[in-house]
Amino acid sequence: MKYAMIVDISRCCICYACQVACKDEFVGNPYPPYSFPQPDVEQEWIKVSEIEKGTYPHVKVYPVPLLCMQCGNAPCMDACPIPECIYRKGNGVILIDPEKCDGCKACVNACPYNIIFYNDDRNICQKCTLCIHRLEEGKEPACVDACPSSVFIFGEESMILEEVKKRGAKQMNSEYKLEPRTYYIGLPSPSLAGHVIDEQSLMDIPDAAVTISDIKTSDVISCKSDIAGNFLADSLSINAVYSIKMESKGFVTRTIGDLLLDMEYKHLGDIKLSREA
Amino acid sequence: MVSFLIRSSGSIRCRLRKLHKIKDSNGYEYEPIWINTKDAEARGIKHRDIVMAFSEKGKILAGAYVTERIKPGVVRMFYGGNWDPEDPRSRESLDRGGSGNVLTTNSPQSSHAYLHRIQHMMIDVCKWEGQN
Repeated sequence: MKYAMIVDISRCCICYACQVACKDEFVGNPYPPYSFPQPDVEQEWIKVSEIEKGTYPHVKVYPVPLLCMQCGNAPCMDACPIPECIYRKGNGVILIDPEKCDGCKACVNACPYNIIFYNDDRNICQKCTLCIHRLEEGKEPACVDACPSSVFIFGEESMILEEVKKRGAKQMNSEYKLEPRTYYIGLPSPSLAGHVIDEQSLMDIPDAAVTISDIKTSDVISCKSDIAGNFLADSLSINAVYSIKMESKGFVTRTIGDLLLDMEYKHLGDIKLSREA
Repeated sequence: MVSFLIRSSGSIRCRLRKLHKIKDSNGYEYEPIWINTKDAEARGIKHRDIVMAFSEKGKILAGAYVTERIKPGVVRMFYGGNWDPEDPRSRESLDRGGSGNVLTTNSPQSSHAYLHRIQHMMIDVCKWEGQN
């Protein structure tokens, strides 16, 4: 049985419980033969990196919990000069043997996700072990256990792969072709946002139908404004020209044509719709 | 140019105090100070640079956290760090730890509430190129 994980970024409330749980689990606690204690600073085996898109005042923050991807063809294993120092357990978890590691940093430099850390004090490289000591006891990893908004879906690989298909999860940086077994939902993608308001009263218009169509390829993406009048359309392509149509009951339909998506997160600001006569 | 310091209380980041500190090349941990990209560019500050924040009253060192999430003209520090001055006997001494109290006024919030002034303060930020 192999383990895999889905991280649903859209559910994350940026509470850092996973990061704290990881520190709680590993700082000062050795789990032989899998890991030595984690230092309390400069190492975050799971790190919620807040990726910012857009410019002030319209900023979108994507909280991306980054942990060891447990890659299918792991570059750290290839890079390590010591035989059987970095190895894969039967359940798919990649581990660095803390006794064999001599701190050459080859794996630190090889990892494209930068989630292997060098420990000055002990002269070893360390990373997320997917809490293998907890898995052996039949428990979930500490971060998964601590998450209050069920960002993580953790389980057997076949179950996770079904879920990946169902929910459209993606691998992070799939162009590296490392086959990571951690999948993400809602990774940053070129997106377009706006705020639909009433021209007269300046009140938000909820449930306005927004249709975004690519002028060249005529692909259509439709979404609805939320209770505060905000809409967000993601998975667009950068440097494409879009036309945006907004319609709501009782309002004159408004179209914004020839809009070039020149940045990763573009906010159109307040879009005023006038009332029907 | 003048910036304002907002000392906000009750942030989740305070609980992760040791995790969010910004280290310099010697391993000293500085308190992060949020600064807008435009302000940082105008002052030649890059992300994770060591900066000096100063007001009329005092000066502190902090690590720059360059972000779009803060308004231009405003910098922000969560509480501040532990007071670690170069010379504890001098009031004008540079505080390496990044204590916000060094910058803010000594007068209390009101005669009824003897708290430090935690709202805002006229300060400016510049890149620190001195001896770390």
